[in-house]
Amino acid sequence: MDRATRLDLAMDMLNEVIERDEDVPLKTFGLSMAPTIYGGEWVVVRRVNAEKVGVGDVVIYQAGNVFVAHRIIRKREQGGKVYFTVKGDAHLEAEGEIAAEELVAKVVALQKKGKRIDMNRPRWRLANKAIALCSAWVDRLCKGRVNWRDDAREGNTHPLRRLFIGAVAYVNHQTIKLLMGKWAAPTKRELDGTAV
Amino acid sequence: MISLEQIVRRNEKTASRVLAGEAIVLTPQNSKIHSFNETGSRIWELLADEPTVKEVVAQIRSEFEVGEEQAQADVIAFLEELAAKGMVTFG
Repeated sequence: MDRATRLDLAMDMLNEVIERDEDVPLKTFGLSMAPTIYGGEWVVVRRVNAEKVGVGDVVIYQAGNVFVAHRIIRKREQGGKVYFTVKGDAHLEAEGEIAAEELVAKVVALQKKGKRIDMNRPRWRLANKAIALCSAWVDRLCKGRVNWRDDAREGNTHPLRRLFIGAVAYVNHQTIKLLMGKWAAPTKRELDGTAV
Repeated sequence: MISLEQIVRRNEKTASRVLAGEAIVLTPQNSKIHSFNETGSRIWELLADEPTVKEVVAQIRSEFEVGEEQAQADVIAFLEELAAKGMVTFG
């Protein structure tokens, strides 16, 4: 069995388990959701009705052979269909939109520093909403005024623009860290699961 | 210690697929994927019918041309490993 087939089957099985309405722990990789979720940390996901998902929630959708956990920063309805704009907290721009039926699950808890953080608690719902607002602002700023991607494509790397983007990314990161409080940055030992 | 008369059941929380004789199993409690060799995959397939350990040994003996003692030791060792990883329970 080759790697691609194995991955296909693994995704199929994960979907099956999530469909059973059970909480499923998933180990994350990558830094697109830092500082909320660092690669190596565990999240708990649960199947959820798209109607019950809103701005601020971290949701799971499938992109090829991986599940992606990113935050909803906007929600809109068109022609009776619901679409979500999703963005990694560490990214400057949103990836784009996903349709409600593409949603696989919602992140209901984070496993940080040996403790389970319930994302449905009021303190975290508020923090998630605030992070989403901050993320939406960064996305709008980068897309609307700076258009840094096009600039980079055209070879326009004016130092002031780069400085501006760096500043926005820094403020975004620090704001999220502030909202996450002591849960923001795990140590390597905690990521390895050796600390409680 | 597992006895030959015990019934072996797959943990219903697992999900598994068998393709071209190779089984892969997902254990949701840790989101790990386990894959087995030919014999292990066949044993996993047999467990779908909730057999006794004795029945599994007998079936493996007939399919893989292996002596009774060897089959028994290997099957029990494999089932113990599956139990330790939360993939099966004994009744």
